[in-house]
Amino acid sequence: MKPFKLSNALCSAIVWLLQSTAFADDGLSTIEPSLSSADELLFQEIPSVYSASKYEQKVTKAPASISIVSADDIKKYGYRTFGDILASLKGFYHTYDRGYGFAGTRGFGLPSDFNTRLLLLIDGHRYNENIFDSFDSAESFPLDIDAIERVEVVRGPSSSLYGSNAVFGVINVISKRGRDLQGGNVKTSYGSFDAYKTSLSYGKRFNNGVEASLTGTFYDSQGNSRLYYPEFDHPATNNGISANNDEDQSKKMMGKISFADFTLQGLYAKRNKDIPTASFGTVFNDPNESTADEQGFLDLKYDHTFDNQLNLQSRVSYNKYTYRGDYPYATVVNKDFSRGQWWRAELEASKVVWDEHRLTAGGEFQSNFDQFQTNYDVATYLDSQTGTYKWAVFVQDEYSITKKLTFNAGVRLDYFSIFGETVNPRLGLIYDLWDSTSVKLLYGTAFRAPNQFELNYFGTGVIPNPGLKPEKFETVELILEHYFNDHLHGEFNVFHSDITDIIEYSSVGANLQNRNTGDVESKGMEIQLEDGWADGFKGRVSYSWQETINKITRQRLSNSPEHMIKLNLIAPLWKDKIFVGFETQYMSSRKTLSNASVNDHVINNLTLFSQNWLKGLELSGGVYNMFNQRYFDPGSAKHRQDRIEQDGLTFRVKASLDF
Amino acid sequence: MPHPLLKFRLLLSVLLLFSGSPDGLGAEKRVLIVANAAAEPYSQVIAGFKEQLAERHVEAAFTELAVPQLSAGSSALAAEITANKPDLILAVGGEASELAAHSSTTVPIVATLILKNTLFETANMTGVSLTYPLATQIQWLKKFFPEQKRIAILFNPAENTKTIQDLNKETERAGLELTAIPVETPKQLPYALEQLAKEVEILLSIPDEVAMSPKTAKEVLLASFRNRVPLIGLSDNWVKSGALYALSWDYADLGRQCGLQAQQLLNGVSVQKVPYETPRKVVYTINSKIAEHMNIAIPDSLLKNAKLIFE
Repeated sequence: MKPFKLSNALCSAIVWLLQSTAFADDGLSTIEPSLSSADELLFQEIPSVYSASKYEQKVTKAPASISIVSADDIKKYGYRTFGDILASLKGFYHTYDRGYGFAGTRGFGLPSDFNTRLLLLIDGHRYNENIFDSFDSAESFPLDIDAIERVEVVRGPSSSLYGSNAVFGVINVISKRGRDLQGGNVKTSYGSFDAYKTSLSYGKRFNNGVEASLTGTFYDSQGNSRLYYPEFDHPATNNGISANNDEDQSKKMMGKISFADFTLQGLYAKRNKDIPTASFGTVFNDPNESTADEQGFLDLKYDHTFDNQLNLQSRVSYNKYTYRGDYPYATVVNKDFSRGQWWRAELEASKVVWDEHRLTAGGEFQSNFDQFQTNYDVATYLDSQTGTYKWAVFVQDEYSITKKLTFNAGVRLDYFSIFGETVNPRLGLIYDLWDSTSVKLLYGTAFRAPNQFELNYFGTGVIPNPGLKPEKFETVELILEHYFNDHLHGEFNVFHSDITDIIEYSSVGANLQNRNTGDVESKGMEIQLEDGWADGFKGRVSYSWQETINKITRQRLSNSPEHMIKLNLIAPLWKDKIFVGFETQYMSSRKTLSNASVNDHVINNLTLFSQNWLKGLELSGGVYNMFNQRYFDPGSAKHRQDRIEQDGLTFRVKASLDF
Repeated sequence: MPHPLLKFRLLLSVLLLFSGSPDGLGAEKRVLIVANAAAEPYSQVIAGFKEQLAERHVEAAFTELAVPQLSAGSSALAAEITANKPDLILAVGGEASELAAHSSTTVPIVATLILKNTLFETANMTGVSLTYPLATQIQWLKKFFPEQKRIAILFNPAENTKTIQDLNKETERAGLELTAIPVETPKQLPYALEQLAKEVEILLSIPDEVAMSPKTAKEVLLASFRNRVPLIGLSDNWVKSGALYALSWDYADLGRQCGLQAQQLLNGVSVQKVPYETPRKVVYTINSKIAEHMNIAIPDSLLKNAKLIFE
């Protein structure tokens, strides 16, 4: 760690902390007339979360460490991609290989991991597709981030509620509803690399009870026109310069309509990306290398609470995903294509019984009726068509043993047609030491089912393994949360995870085959202070330490930072009209696949945001990596590059108008 | 033959009648004032009360106490009453009123700044409640939301069933659809609040120990904020904390209203003949930030006349 970088980050953090603790302790209003002149304004998010237990509860009662990001944060910090949002959170980091974005957390972020160990929900709808079981956190992220109302990030294992992928966390993205728009909105932005984005939205809650919203977004970026990769620095490969091979284009649409207990939601997203890295040994600087991802769903949800307070929720959905990859080799362009179609049905019920118990139980069924993968050029090398299914049942109880002590226990049985059943519990003991302090002791197991790509993909030198078993995770975590006052919140947690049967390539004779061979141990601690004042100031500072190692080699995993420090601050510059959003992210060095390392780095982003000049008009401008820090992310096995350089100083200006 | 004592009383009455006071209150009356605290808005009420009595030429000597001064609670106040022998007690605030009710069953009490109207069932108590009549509340709700129809309310059946029955009648009369969501225990509150994500357009509130109290304020306000369902608050404090508006009070006028009741009682009218009243002057407080967040356009006329606007 370079001293000046760390000292910069630490100084910022200390100054901010000193400022924040100087604010007075406020109380909330009484039912009687106001006696206090210092009551808290509640315009900002109050810590409560839905996704941790599938019902709204206070963060301090949730059996997990939680982060919440609001639409206001997205605007004022000037986030451009979902990866930007995740990278700002305690213990999370985001890497980019100029094709897809990958989120890492708790030291686990294998290069090109495709986010398979995180579960993404869009308005509660399970989004991970059925070929790679993944989602992208860069530009293929399905929702325009300006259409997000709130993001809930639940850390740790949640397979007891959500099944596969809910290993390191569940991310529930809640989109804007008609009532959040109440009219039309147009947004347009322009930034570095000739990147522009335009979105048009309309939403309304009508007097007849119907509520509807529709959002469409188009994004196009020419990308970095000159990317230098020393691994290809040879006259035959344009001296290592990939020119004009980074274009990125996406189209996204989402619509929702609700009436009475029913909500119909549809989403469609398509992204085309030119790949400048010559992945999979393709010809360098060839404009034909590209990927295209397309995904959508149609989801009908029923949500009713009966007079006896029994809440019943059900949803059915149809989902489709396609992936195309064009990989140019010397004489041919190799084509990779995958298509997945599936439908899902879910049913769950929740009720408070005997005052002390909140019971939630449910089940789901998913039919993957179309899982198709092919690879071809002059010949067809892969032609895999299959269909699988899975079902699950779960039960959870939140038992208030005393006023101060809550026991949260849940267990879920999943059955997969490809490997059989798996049972995963989660236990949480939550004790309120004082009104403002709570301690959580958590234990949980989780799993990730092998995906179709790992089971059935084969090609030259790669053989399939239909006998793969799920990866298993076992985590123990201790969390201490304390409210110093109504707005200053501190959280400290330590965790230990054993991860076994990780699916990775192993040599089988002259071939490679996916096998359940990896065993990893992850331990660490995270500490965060978060503050939100009534006068528009808001901020948080966090430090995380994690040691995630291969149990056999005792070596740290690749792309696994030991330390991260983050500072986020929103400050009003003038009344409620101009705000500055500033963030600093320090990450220590990370090992690469070749046992080399990428250097530690500090990234600083600054956004100026203005509102309330003209009715409905918002303007913002942001500079990202403002000190032009040169930094790298580790490359993956598909790359010849051991490290991939990231963007230096970039900018974006943006306007938004309600009409 | 009249009793000598009766003769004496008759003589005293005649003397009083000709003593020059238009209200016939020649002798100075002793008024004990007990307030929750020696701070605003209690002081505004007390000032209004005194002004009213002075305007009516009621000569009175005031003794003022704040609840924190009465460390021994009702027994300390009872001792004070025994020593001071007040003709009337003015109780300002819920705690002060309960203390006064427990301390004396004979001295007339005029109470205000209280939300629990059940306190007025105390035989020697009258006053001015903080609760506006339901009809007034609905009338103002329609001024703020002329087009909205679907309103919801959270209530504990054990505490507010009668109020909900009355409210049902009022809303029906006003052409509104009321969804009354029962909340019997705090654990049921999250379920109730989940209803805000649906068709509800406005969340009305009534004082309720289980569903709508300082303990539940954060949860209720958060649900209102997130679901963009405006909450009609219970006080300025609720508005300051995130409710859209609340009918508020002109505290000095509450004091004056109490002063008029006190005058009658000091004139010898029995408490039973002076029923408790609701505030005669309606004022309101608005949170314009919440209005902006919820895309609610508040007419200029309402903004102009608001007692207070939180911006």
